[in-house]
Amino acid sequence: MKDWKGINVKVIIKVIGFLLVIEGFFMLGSLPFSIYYGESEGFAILYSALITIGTGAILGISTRKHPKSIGRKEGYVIVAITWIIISLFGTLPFLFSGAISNFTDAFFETMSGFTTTGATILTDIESLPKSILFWRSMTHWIGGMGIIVFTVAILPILGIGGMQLYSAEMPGVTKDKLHPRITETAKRLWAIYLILTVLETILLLLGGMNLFDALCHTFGTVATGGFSTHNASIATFSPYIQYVIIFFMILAGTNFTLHYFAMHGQLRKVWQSEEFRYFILAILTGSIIISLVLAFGQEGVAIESAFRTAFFQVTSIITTTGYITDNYLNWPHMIWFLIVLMMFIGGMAGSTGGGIKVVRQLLLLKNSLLELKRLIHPQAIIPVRMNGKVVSQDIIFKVMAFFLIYIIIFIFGSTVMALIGLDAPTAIGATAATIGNIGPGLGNVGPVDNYAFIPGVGKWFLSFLMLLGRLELFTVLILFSPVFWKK
Amino acid sequence: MNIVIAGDGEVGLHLAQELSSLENQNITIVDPHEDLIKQVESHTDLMAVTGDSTSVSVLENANIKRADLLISVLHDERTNLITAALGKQLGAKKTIARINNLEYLRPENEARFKNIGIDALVCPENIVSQEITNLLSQTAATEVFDFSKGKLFLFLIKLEQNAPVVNKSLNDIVSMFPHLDFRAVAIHRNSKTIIPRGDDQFLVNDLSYVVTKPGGIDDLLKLGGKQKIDIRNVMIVGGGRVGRTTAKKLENRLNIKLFEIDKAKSMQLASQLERTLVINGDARDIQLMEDEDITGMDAFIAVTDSSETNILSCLHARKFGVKRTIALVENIDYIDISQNIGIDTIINKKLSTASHIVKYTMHAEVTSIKCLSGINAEVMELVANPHSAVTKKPIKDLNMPKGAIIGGIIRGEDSHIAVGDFQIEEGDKVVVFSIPESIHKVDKLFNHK
Repeated sequence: MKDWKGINVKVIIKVIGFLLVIEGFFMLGSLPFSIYYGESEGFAILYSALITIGTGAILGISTRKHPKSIGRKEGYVIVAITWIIISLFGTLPFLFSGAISNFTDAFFETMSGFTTTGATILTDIESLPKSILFWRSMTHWIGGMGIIVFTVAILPILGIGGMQLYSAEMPGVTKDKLHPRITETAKRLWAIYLILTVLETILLLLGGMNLFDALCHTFGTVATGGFSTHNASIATFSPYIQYVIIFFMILAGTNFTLHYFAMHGQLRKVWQSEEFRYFILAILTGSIIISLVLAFGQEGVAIESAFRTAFFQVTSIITTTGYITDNYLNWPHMIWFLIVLMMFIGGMAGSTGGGIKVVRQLLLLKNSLLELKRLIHPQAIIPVRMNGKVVSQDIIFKVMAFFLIYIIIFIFGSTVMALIGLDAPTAIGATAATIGNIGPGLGNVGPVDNYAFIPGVGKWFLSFLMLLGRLELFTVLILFSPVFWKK
Repeated sequence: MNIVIAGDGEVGLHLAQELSSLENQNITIVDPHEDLIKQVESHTDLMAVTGDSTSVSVLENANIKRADLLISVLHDERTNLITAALGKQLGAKKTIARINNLEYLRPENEARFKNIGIDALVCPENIVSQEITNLLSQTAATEVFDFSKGKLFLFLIKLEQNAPVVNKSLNDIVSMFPHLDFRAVAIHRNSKTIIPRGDDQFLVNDLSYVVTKPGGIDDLLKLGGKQKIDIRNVMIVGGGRVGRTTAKKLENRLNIKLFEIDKAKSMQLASQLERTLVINGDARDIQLMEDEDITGMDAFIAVTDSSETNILSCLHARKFGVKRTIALVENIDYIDISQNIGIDTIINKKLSTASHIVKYTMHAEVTSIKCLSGINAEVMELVANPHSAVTKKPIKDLNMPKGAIIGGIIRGEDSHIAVGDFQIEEGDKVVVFSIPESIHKVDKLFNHK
């Protein structure tokens, strides 16, 4: 058991033990709300938390004497397995409280939460107890920055291996470290995350939301999640609140390294980032096109409202948040194509957003355009540049592989969903929305619909796609490669 | 003046020879190669010390504590920095180190190097690439130097068949064009240098050195039978430091193609040069050159490590119709011959570096000095010291040494072409053309004793 196929199992158990303890404490965060609202589900949450903490403690203590060095392989296994296990334990509050009675549904909902997808199987969200809804939104917040990044930040006990875990959970394209020490980098990332959370909560409170709604929606925004506490998502809230959420969706979709620079007054560095400019450009272009179509294509739509609606939906899809204020399936069909296209863009690398990520597309686009120049000058060395710096060939190949695998999985996934019996738009929409961690898709899983009707197999498959998308494919896929299991 | 030169090969030896040909300079050379040193010692009047210049005992053997100037020009810049810093500690009055890293030349770093005892940094590659950029901005001239930020220029012009001045004497020209803003200071003809007097005639293919005011450039080019070429597309061959620095300086205003034969080096260049098209290939590959549109180039700059490749590829470029060709020729013996076969400009790192360094050996305040390639002469900008000999009489009555001539004077914001009646005043910057043997006589005229 100690060394199974070259993998140090005890270290994996030990780390997972730690993570479960942390998850348990996060669960306790819902208790104040159950007390405040006088809900009996507080006990369900308390039991869930105790079971989670207890299991974690047993696992941790039983392996406590084990050395804590984590290798590259263990890093991948830990991260992939951790996400599954915390999702398993995350279902407990739903199951114990009876809010979601079916295990498949509960797992889908929890995975959707942790991966910040925001796809739900709930048909009437408002009927759930507040404390359970709070836990549901909390899963977003934990998953947004990543529970492992959090652990690395607060528990230097993970020591050297932190780096392996960190890079498995935050794959990105290039590594931006904010500090020579990974623990310090993780701390800074979580500090930024916390600052964004506090700011948005305050702004939402100022807009007239109560603390419960403000916190839940903030969690959904800064994690680019999308779970709302209302059946109509954000549509019922005031324009002010909608603008605040748009603004924070953009911030959450931005690379956190840029926030770090901005907070240190280096605003020029932010604007110098090509990825950032491209990200903003994508949002603006989409918003303007759609608001023009909405304002002039339909009768009686005010310009401001058309712009706000377009801006909100576009930002929500591109940043992979998934909040909505309008059903885009009612819009002219040409916009649907735009929406599907935007589902693949995703946030910036190093943000809480999912999808392919802007930087990958930018690199591929640049490389493809340079290919034309290379044809004319066969012997010239024409490297791809990002922010003025040369991007090495290895990274380009990696990005190409990522892009190709992403598209293959999307096509394969859509086929699987169609086989299960979904119609074409629904199959495509559900696959794109889950692998991109977005939430709302097309057809029967559109913005005002939910995933409840999908057969159990389909829900398990979509949960797997969400995990693939959140960990940026390779961390999960590598576990399926024969090379990984060779000694 | 006691000068210690630390070198490890040609550059040091060349500098030692150059400096020892000047009078009153006592040269000691420190070099690790015994054979080389022996050879030089037998040819040149200097003292040689064999050994590592970063060793205290070797420097002491070279009598460092009495040295007025220590010049370290080894290939490795770190060795130079250590030698210079150590030399200063051991008593050298002034130290110069040759470097390659352009970062060190930034103004904010000057004080840092002063602090560790290094008075001046010389980067041959930078000097040469600066020369190339100057040449490209004055395309009709073979060589061009500017003084006091463009208040006076020295042009080297090859006289074309159709030039109005051909077969005319200096006196004829003055009577034909009475208000000229330039003055010919030397003619290079058949490997000989002539300081022209009133009745000397200009001939076709003469290389003439002319000092001119900025306003006189257009007239000068017309009289030399030249047309300005508009330079847009430039091909550089050789991605060494010279090629890289030149491309870096030019890439924002010109289209540059840079050829480098080594793959790894090409990759590096491509990452450093954002707007240059780096091509991994051999410039001797005619097919490749045609594919890369050599015929559409306005200038061709060959700066590989091999003088032969540079000369040949420039000749080739000429054949393809490139109007401006510049070759880096490190072998000094080739310079004269390559000018005769049609390459319009030759540059040489050793000469350029040497002229840069010679200025530190002079007493008068020298603001700028250039060793001219192709002929054995220098042109420098000197400041007339108070009470120095030049300020006492008009130019025509000065006792100028043979082989030296005053070309022009910069006084404050104004510049003047030297004429016989002109009276130099203290503080004037004077552009003087001189052969090496006369430099120190000129120096004395400007230096108050």
